[in-house]
Amino acid sequence: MIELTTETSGFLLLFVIVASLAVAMLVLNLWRKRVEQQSLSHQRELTKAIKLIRKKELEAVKHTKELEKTKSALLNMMEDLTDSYEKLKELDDLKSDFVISVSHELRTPLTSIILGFELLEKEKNPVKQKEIWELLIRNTQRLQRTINDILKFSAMDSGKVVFRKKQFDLKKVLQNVVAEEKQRIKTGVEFNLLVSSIPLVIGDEEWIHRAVTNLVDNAIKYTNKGQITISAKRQKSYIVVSVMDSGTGIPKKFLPHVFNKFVKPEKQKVGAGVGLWLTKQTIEKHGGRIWIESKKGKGTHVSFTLPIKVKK
Amino acid sequence: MKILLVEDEPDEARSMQLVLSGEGYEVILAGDGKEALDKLAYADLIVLDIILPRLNGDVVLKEMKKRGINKPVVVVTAVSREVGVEQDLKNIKKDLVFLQKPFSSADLIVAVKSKLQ
Repeated sequence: MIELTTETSGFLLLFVIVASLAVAMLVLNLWRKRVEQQSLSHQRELTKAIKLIRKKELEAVKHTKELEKTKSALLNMMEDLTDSYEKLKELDDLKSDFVISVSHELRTPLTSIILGFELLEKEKNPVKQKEIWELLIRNTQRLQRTINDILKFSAMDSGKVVFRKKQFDLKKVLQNVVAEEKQRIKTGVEFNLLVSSIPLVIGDEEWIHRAVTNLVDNAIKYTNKGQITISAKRQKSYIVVSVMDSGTGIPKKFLPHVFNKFVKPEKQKVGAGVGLWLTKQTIEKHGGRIWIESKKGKGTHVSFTLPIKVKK
Repeated sequence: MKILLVEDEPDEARSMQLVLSGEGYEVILAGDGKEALDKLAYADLIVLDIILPRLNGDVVLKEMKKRGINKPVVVVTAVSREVGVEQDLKNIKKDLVFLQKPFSSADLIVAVKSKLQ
C-alpha cells in the first residue's frame, strides 16, 4: 500500500494540473488550427466575391456607357424627326398658302372679265368701249398665263415634264417677249433689248419663252422708274441672257430663297410664288445655270446660260 | 352718294368703278389700306378688298372701330369664304356684307344698295 503523504498528493496535484494544461493547450491548438483554416477559407471566398463584384462593376460601367450612347443616338434621332416634321409642316403651310394664292390669282382676273363683259353690253361711248376691250384682253391673257403656269408647275413638280427640244432662235424669242411685255411697262420706264447675232440653241422654245417672260414680268412689277434691259451674247459654248432692272431690288436676307417653291416677297399678294422656281428648273433641265444679283433700292440682275449645241 | 373703293388691282378697281358710277354713285379710289384711312371721311360707304399691300383690310376695319367710324362696309374677297376669314372680320364689325370674287355687276350693286338703305 502506497501511503499518500502530503508530498505525494502535492506531486499528484501538480501532475493533474500540468496534464490538464497540456490537454487544454492541445485542444486550443487544434481549435486554433481549425479557426485558421476556416478563416483562410472565408478569405478565399471573400476574395472570390470581391473579384466577382469588381467584374460586375466593370460590366455595369460598360452598360451605362452603352446606354448613354443609345440615349444620345435616340436624342439625335428625335431632333432629326422634329426637324423633318417642322420642314414638312412648313411646306404644308406653304402649299396651303399656294392653294389660296392660286385661288386668288384665278378669281381676280375673272372678276374683271365678268364685269368687263357686262359693262361692254351697256357701254355706248366708243372710247370707254375700247378701254373695256383692252381690260378684257389683258385679263383673259392673265388668266391664261396663270392657268398655264399652274399646269407647268404641276408637271414640273411631279417630274412629268417632257420637253420638246429642237433648234430655235433665242433672239427671236427675246424679241417676242419684249413685244408682248412692252404694254405692261409702267410709264417712264425704258425697255431695252440688246442682242447681237447669236447662234441657235436647242431646247423647248415654249418653256424657254415662259422662263424669260417670268423674269421680265418680275422686272416690270418691281420697277417704277429707270430702265429694264434684256441682253444676250455668246460666251464660249453658252449664250448668256440677262434681265437687268433699276427697280426696288431684293433684300439681302431674302436672296438665298428667291428660287424656292411657293416663296413670295412679303405683302406681295399677286402671283402664286412659283415663277422663279419654274424658271430655274427649266434652265437647269436645259443644261444651263441661273443666278441673281440684287441690291435693295438699286435694282436686280438675273442671268442665265443656255448651252449652244455645236453641230458636228 | 359717295363710295370709297379700296382695291389695289388696277383693272378690278376700274371695272368696279365703272359699274358703280354707271349706277349713279360717285367713286373715290384708294390703292391700299393707308390711303383708305386717309379718304374715309369723304365716303358714305366703303367697298373694301380684304387683301391689300401695306395694310390689310382687317387692319382698316380695326382702325375704323378704334376711331368710332360706323360707316357701312362691303367686303370683297378672293379668298374662299371657307377659310374662316369671315368670322374674324365680323368680330371686328358686326354688320359686314361679303362679296366673293368673282361676282357680277348685279351682285355688287345689290350689296351696295342693301347697305345704303
